[in-house]
Amino acid sequence: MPIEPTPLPSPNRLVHEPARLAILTVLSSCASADFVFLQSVTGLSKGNLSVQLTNLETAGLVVITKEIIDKKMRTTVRLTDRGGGEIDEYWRTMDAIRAAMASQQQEAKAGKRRAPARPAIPRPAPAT
Amino acid sequence: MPSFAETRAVPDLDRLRLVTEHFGSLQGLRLVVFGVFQLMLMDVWWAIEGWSYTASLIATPIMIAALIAACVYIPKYYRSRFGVVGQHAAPVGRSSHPILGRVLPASILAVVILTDCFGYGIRPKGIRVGLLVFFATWLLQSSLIHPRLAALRRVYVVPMFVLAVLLTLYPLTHSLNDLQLDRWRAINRSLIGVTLIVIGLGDHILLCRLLPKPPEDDHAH
Repeated sequence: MPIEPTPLPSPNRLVHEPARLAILTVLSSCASADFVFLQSVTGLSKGNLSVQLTNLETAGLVVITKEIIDKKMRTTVRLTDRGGGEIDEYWRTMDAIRAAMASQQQEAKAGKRRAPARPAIPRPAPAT
Repeated sequence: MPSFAETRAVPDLDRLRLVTEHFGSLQGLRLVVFGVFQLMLMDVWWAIEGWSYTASLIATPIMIAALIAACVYIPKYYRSRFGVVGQHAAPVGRSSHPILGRVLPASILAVVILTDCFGYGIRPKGIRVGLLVFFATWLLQSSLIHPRLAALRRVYVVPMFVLAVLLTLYPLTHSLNDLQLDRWRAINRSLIGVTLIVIGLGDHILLCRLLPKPPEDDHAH
C-alpha cells in the first residue's frame, strides 16, 4: 500500500511574496526604517515598494508614518505587533515544512530499503 | 546589480538582516573624519618637511572648518543617500553578550590609556603597544560579539593589523639611530589616524556595494 504523504502546512501568501518578505525581514531587524533605506536595501523601484507597503499596511502588518523634516517628506515604516507575529509564524511554518520534507525524504529512503526484492524471473534454459 | 524583483529570485535575507543591524557602524565616513582629526591632533601635518610656519597657520583654520563642515554634512549625506534606520533599544548581537559588550570596550580603553601614559619607561626604545592591544582586543571583541560581522568580509582590517604589528615591532628587529627613531615615532603616531581613515573608507565602500542605488524606473507588479 503506498504511503500517503502528510499535507504540508502552507505559509501566509501575503508574507511569502519575495518583495514583501524582504521588507518584513528588514523591519523585523530594526525598530523602524524610512522609505529611502527600504528602497536601497531591497532594490525595489519606488512604485513597487509603495504598492507593497500599502498592501502590508492594509493587512495591518506595518504602520506608515509621514512627517515633514527639513521641508522634505519622510516616510517611516515600522512593524506592528501583528506583523511581528506574522513573520515569526511564517518562519515557524517554513521550519515545519522543512522538517516535514526531511522526514518524508527519510521515509521514502527507508521504504526503498525495506521493499522486498522483486521475484526473480526464471530464465529460459539455454539452448543446447 | 539587478534586484531580486527584477530577477524574480529569492531575496538574500541574511544580507538584508546584516546590513540593517550594522547600518550605523558601516557609515565609515564618520570614522574618516575622526582619523583626520586624530592626525591633526598628532601634529602629523605640520611634521611634513617643507611646511612653513605661515602655511601651517593658514592651513589650520581651513582644516578645522573643513572638519566641522564634514561633521555636519556627512550625516545628512547618509540620510539622503541610504535613508534612516531606527535601531532596537538593545541590538540583537549585544543582548546575548552584555558583559563582553560593556567590559571589553572599557578594558581596551583602559589598556590603551595605561600603556600610553605609564608605559613609557618600560617599553623598549619607546615602542607604543597601545594600538596593538587595541587592535587585537577589538578584533577579538568583534568576532565574539558580532560573529555575523565576519560575513561582511571586512578584509581591509587585516592588512591594517599586520601593518600595526610590523610597524610597532620594527625597532626591536632593526637598530635605528636617533633621527630614524624620531621618524619612526612620527609614523607610529599617525598610525591610529591612518587606520581609522582606511577602515572608514573600506566600510563606506562596502556599504555602497551592499546598498547600490535603487532603480529609478518603475516596474510595478
